Amino acid sequence: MKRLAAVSILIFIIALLFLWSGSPEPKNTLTVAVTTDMKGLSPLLAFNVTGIMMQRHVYDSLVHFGPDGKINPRLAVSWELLDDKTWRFHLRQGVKFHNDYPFTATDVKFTLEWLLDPRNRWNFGSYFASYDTIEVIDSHTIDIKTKTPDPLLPNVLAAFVGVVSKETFEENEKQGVRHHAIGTGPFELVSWEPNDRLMLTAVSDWYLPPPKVKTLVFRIIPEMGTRVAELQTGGVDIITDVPPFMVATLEDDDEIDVRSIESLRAMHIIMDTTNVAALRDKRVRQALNYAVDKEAIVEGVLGGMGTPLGTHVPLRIAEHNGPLLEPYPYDLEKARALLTEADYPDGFPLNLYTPNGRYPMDRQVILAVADQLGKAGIDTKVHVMESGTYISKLIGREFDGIYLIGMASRDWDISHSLNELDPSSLLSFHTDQALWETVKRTKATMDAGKRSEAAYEIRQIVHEDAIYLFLYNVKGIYAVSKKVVGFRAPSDEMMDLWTVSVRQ
Amino acid sequence: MIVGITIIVFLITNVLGDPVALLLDPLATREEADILRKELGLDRPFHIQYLAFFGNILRGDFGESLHARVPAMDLVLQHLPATIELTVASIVFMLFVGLPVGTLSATRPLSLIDRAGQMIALVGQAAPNYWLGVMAILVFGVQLKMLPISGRGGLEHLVLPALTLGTFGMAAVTRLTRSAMLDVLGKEYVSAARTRGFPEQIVVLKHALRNALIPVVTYVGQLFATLLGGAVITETIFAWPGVGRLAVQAISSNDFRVVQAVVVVASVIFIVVNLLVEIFYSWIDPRISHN
Repeated sequence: MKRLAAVSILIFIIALLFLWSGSPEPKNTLTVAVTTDMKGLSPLLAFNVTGIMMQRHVYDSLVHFGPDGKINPRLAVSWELLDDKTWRFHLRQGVKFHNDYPFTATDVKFTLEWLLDPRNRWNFGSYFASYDTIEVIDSHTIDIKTKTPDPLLPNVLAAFVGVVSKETFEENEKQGVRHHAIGTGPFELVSWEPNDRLMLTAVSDWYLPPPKVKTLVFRIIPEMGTRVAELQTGGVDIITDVPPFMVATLEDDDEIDVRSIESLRAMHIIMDTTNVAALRDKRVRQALNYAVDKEAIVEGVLGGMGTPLGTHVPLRIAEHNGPLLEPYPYDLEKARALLTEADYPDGFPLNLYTPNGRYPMDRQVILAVADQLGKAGIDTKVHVMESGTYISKLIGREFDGIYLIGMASRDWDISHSLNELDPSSLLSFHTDQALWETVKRTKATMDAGKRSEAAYEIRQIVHEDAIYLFLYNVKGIYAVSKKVVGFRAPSDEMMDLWTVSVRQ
Repeated sequence: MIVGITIIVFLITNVLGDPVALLLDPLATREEADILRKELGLDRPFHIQYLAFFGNILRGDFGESLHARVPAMDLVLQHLPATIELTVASIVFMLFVGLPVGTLSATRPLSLIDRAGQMIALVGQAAPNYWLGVMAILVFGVQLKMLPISGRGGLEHLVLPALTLGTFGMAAVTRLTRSAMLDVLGKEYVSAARTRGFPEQIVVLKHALRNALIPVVTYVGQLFATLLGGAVITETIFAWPGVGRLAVQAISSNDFRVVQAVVVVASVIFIVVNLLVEIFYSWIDPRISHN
């Protein structure tokens, strides 16, 4: 018995010693709770949006989006179009990586070529389809040539590309790129505990005004209730991905501000005209659009945290491309009349598919849509599934019906919405070859004015033909401690935390 | 046994769905998807894929995580310490509370202590983890501000998740100890010890408890092995960076190589821990021998 007691006490003591590894966070720290972690430290492995957002505090891009999507200088001080297919970037002089290696055009060339190499299987590779060659002109000038005119090149660089140091990469290659975290950004790496926290410290001699806090910590907290509890007790200063139903509770808290902004994500429902015969008739698709009360869904399900849309293009992007198109009004009579006209006076059976938890309130939204379509006489059946399964089955074309999707245009441009119309895309369930030809021409138009005019025409066709069941634009919701100063909720989920300070 | 495990793991991870779907931008073309599928070897016949998988496992190679681009086993090993830490802490809690409460209950049947002990056991086994976790956060974190709410750090970070994870087991240990002790206390050798004039404490702790430990050890051993495979709910609520969360992320992103590595590691741990429990039996009760 004594032996047993001794062994248990020994185990307990060993456990204590083993566990005691806590270190208090230093002063002047900003702590931000996010839902998922990045997959690796290097922007060469950027996989998810949260990962890119975290990495861009360590790595700079050539150009940078302002809050309204305007492109600002960063590692590149200026850029110009030499001809339709050649972009020239003039790089900032005197910039150093965190390990004091100088930043030059060679690093930019190396980064881009790594991303372009199909063997590296970079997730956002399809955005770079037009790239041809990258040429270093001198140590601080670089030309990017494209195969076809690509007006979006600066947008894509701003959205996805953090520049790494070629020399550092090659020195560390054996360890794998995951462990590589040397950038030119406002913060440098202190530590990364995957799925727990990323700790960064401010770079005091950054080439732009240095960060206002000394330490920046990202904490990975998947559970919403836990994120809220941490914010309420001062464990974290900012939380992302606040669900609409929590807004009222958080607004009641005197220590917390809720900030919301129109995001770059438009929710809509894909109508599968390949599998569902009824949907091939434009009048049926229009009827479905009339039968859904978007206002009621936004108010009732999303607590007002959305804006009804008349196309599948996100609100802030549509604004830059001609006048907004009014959403289809809720008109049950008209919906019934159109269905009768299309020879479906008694409706038809229709499957509705939705992921659970991929988008804010997705399942509840689809249940509301099903209910409303039911009132128009359509015999609906809702299929709810886990997010990963949903996407792989959707892309695997295992469904027959209509499918909820939310598309975010990370490059602040309409091209992403236009690409949805590509008949060869994994998410294409409706082919309109003539429309796609127009889209292709539009995408290659270098003149911004003409491009936006053409984009407006395309939006009109998409609206009129009711290619999708248009729903609403999602609002991004953040909750912030009142101690935080200078935080602006971003439309594109890319927080600029070097501009934020914390009152002690 | 390993062959069995690998076949099951391989089959399960293959029904997870097409990993390519989640690796590409949804607006990628079908042609791009086919190229990627080929590159990952997913276009090969099923049995060839399995043989390659099995061959690699024998060399300890689970392949590279599709998303993190590091060996899948590295990811598992990186998340394992957090899980071991949490498991050990919750087992310690189970034993340090469950054994004394169970023993006290058994020595004073139907007394106030016994009733209180049984009540704890009942509530502990009935309360689901997700509820307990949230309540623990609300009470100790938000209201009393005594303990950190989430994340991994010093010992104080471990308290709430370990209590949450260990409550069910603690209740079970209390009940098992109580019933085994009641059984043993009625045995002749205990009466014999008493008549030989040993103090009651010695009789209970040395003669009775040791013999009552067998079912408890079996139970705790099984639980220990299971928990080392990751405690998904507790890890998620407390943002604990353990194997359970890694597994869930891998499953939802169809990162099948990581799923395979997690399951194989969890299975091996299960087998090894069970073996250790068997050895432990014969240490507690030398009559149990495997020769």
